[in-house]
Amino acid sequence: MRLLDEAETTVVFEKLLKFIGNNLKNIVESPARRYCFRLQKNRVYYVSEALVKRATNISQKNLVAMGTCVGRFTHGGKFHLTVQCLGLLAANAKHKVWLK
Amino acid sequence: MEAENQMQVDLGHLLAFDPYHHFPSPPKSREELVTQCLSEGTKLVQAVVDGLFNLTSTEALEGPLVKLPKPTTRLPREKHLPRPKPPTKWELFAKSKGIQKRKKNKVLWDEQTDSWKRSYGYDRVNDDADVPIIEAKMTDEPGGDPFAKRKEEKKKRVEKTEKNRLQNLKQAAKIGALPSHVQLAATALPITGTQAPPKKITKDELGSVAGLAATATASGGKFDKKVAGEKPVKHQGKHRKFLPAAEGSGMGNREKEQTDKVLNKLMAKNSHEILNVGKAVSMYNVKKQRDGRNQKGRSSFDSSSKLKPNGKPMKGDKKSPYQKSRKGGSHGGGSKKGKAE
Repeated sequence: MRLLDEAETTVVFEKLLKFIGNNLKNIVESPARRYCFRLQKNRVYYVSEALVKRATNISQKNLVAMGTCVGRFTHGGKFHLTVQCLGLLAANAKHKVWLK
Repeated sequence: MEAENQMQVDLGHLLAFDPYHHFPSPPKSREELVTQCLSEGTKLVQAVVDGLFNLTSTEALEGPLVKLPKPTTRLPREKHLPRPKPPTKWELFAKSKGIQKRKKNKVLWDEQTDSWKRSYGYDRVNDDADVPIIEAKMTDEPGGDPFAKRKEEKKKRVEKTEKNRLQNLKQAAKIGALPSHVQLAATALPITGTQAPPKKITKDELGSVAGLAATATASGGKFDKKVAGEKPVKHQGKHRKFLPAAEGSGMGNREKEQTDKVLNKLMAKNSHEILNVGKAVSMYNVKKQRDGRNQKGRSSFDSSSKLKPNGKPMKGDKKSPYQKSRKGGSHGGGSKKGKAE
C-alpha cells in the first residue's frame, strides 16, 4: 500500500470531478471520519484513517483490499472507475434523477 | 711540476674533468675560442668513452650492456636542508605555561579487570563509552540523554583536534617547512582560505557514480562486458519518492497538503463548470429587475419606489425557483451540461 503521488491524485480527482463536481470537497475532507486514498497494486481504495493505520501492519503480499475500491490504474496509466465506487458517487453526485 | 696530466674521469656520472687545463693565451676571437673548446671537449669525451669500453660488458638484445660503477664525485645538495618546523599551537601554549613533556606508558594497570590494558585505542583503560551508569547531576535537564551527550562531546573534541592539526600544517606550509609525507599525501591542503579539507568519497557514492557511468551508453549498459567482481547496479531505473503510508494517526500533514493542493488546483481549473448557486440566484434577480424596469417604464418605477421608505424595489419579490440549499445536489439548477459525462 502506498500513497498516490501528485500526478496520480490529479488523475483520480479529475475523474471524480466529472461526476461529483463541487462535492469532491466532501469526499476528500470529510470531517467526521477522515478518509484517504491509498494505492494497492494498481487499485485505488477509499479508506478511513483508522483502517489505514491498521492495514500498514499487513505485508504487501497478503493485503488484498481495504475500504472501498474506487477504481484502478491501467497499464497505460489511465484511471478507470469501478462499480464499487457507485455508493460514494451516488451520495455526492452533481445531477440526480428520481424515478417513480 | 705537472706530475699527472691525466684527466679525472668519473664513470658513475659519465664525467671527465681536466683540472690542469689552461689557455696559454687568451683567444683572439670567438671562433678561435670555440675551436679550442671543441678540441679540448673531444679529448674529454674520448677519455669517458675509453673508460666505458674498458668495463666488462654483457650481451643484450640491443648490443653490449655495461653496468656503470658508483660515482666518485660528490654533487652538491639538490634540495635545501629541511627548515625547522614552526612550533604548533600546543607547543607555544606549553612553552608559555611552562608545561613539561612527560613520558607516558603504553600499557596501564586496570583495577577493574586486573590486567594490563592499553592507554589508548581498542580496549583501553578508562574508556569513556564503557561506563554503564551515569549519575544524574542537579544541572541535568530531564529528558536529556547523557550517553548521547558524551558521544557528541567526544565528536566535537575530535573535530577540534583535526582542525588544529590542519592549522598547524598550514602554518608550516606557509614557511615552507611542511613535512615531505604530507606534501605527497592525497589530502591536499587548500591553497587559499580556510576551507575544510576535501571529503573522501564514500563507497556508496562511488558505487552510484560508477552505476551512472555504466548506464551512460547507447543501450543503457546492458551489453557491456562486466569487469571481474563488478556487482550489479543497485537502484536501477527511476527512483521515485512517495510519502509514508500512514503518518501520525492515518493521514499526516504532508498528505493533507498534497491533496489540498491538487484539489484547489482542480477546483480552480473547473470553476466555470461548477455552479455557484448563490451567485446564479443574485444574477438572475438582478437581471429580472433590470428587465422589469425597462419594460414598465418610468411611472411604475416611481410609484413602486415611492411606497418604500428606502426607495428601493422590494427584495424577495420574485421568489426564484432555484433558491435551494447548495449542498445535497441541485437538480436541473440551470446547468447547461445536462447529463453526467
